[in-house]
Amino acid sequence: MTRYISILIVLLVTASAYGFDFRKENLEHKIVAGFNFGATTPTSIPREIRKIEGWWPQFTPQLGYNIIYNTSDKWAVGSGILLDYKGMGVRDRVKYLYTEVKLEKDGNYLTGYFTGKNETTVKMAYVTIPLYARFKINDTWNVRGGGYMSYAYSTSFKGKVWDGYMRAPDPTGSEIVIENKGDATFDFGDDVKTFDFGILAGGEMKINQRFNVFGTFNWGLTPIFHNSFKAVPFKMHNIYVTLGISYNL
Amino acid sequence: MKTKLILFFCCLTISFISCIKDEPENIEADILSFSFEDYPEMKAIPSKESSKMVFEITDTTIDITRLIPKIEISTGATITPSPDIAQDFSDTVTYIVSSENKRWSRSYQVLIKQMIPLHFSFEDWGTAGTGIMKYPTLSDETWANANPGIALAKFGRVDEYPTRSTTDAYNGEYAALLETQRGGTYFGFKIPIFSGSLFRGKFGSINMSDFAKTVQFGQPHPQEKGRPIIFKGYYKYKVGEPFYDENDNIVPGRIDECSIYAVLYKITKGVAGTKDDEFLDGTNILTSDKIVATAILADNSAKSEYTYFEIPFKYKEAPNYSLYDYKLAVVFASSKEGDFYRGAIGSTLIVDEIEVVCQTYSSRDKE
Repeated sequence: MTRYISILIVLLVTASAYGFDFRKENLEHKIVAGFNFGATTPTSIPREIRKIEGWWPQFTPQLGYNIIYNTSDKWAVGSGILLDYKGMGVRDRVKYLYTEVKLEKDGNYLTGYFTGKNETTVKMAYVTIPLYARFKINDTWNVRGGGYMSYAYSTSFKGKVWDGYMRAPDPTGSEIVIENKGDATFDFGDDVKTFDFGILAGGEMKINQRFNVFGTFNWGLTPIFHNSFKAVPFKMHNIYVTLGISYNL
Repeated sequence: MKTKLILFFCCLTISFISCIKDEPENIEADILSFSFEDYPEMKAIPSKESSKMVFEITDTTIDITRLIPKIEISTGATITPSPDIAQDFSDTVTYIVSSENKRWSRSYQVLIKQMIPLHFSFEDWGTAGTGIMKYPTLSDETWANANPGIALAKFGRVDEYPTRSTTDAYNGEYAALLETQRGGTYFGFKIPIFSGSLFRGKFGSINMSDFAKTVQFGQPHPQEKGRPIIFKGYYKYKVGEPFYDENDNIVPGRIDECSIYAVLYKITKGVAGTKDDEFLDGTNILTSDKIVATAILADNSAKSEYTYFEIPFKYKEAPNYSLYDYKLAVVFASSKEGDFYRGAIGSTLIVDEIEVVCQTYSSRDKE
């Protein structure tokens, strides 16, 4: 965590190095409205995932307020507060994925190695505070880079496995055939961390005096599950792109 | 810019999909099937939970001490010892399967139990004795009956002997019929009834005063014949009346019972067939401390139709051929207490297709 905070501090210091002569007319206020596309995913696809058969977005808007202070003609620092939904759905084929599922027939939990199809739906609601430096390329374009801190007030991570079998508790154990979609489910929403820190990079294009379009790439550096959580064997991160419109107040 | 971003996002997605890694190494270590190429009847598909495979075969021509199995295992897994090496399956052979990724292994135990049936259909009958003393008996001389005693007692004046063949067979042409008959007084001894009897053993020198000691139960049962495990066959039983006790008194209301049992007992090593040969007789066949195992039919009541019985041998101790020799007795009687001249006139027991199933001792036991 200190690592992420250090990154933010470095960014701030970089920004302030250009001189921090506070003047009210140097402030910009913006309302932002966008949509998050992306995935909560391991940064490189683990071997256990054999094929991604489908991906679909959830309703994951980003709404909020940004405040930007211009430190020079070119440079500015920005922050704000955002209501930030992140989520997606994915269907994939896995081999020997270590996980825990609930057998719907009897309500029992089964931990072991699953081979077959998996469908996961993730939806998380965060309050995000970004902090970034902005560089104006020209009157129309600017780019920015920085970090963000998010607090999750609602987390959902659930799905189904089917069309396969599980060896439980280990590969030498019983073979449980999970045939139909809905026979076995998982719900790890409660195991998702409340905090997420990440880095962001993006750009903005001016449409007119009031409106701009922007795109931001957000890379969560903290794995979304607690270290003690074992039912997903790899570290997952929020990797999302926000596309939206900002309105200058 | 927006299109660029979309493009970037698409590229990102593609890059994720394109970086699907090589398939993980197999983590399973299962035997998927276990068979013997030359003996298709021996094939097992072990469950994922079980690691024991036991084949029970009755084909005694298979040399189970040198067999090469055909084993299918999980993809990429390895197995030791190599299935190409012949193994002695008369004793448990352990195979260890290791998964492709080497992290997991399962151990399997394989055993072949070779069953040697001692099967008797009671088809071939002949006569024994000489002149007027001729009496019916099975051609298989390992079986004996008490007919010679009756022949002697009645000086051959016998219409039908208590033990004889019948065409009322369960299978084949004949079965063995045992009928309790009315006796009398012979040589000063009162013998109220003659029970039909049939047993593996010998009818010894006749001792009218203690008839029960005349019968010598059991035939040698060397280790090669295997460990008796099941005694089975078919029988019919008709209860006769009246019931006589040994003092020639009618016992009203007493219902006769048949007896069907097999006994494995130990004898001093090396005495079988010598003048010191040892037997159990009618007085101790079910009580001797030499008894190692018994299989006794519990239901001795009337059966108007052929009834199947299958009795497991109950062992008191494990046979130890390095210390003892063993004999196996199989005994049928139309009156349970016929040895002691108690029974009901006309009680009739018919038996057919008798089998003692034995399991081969493993080659290690033989050493």
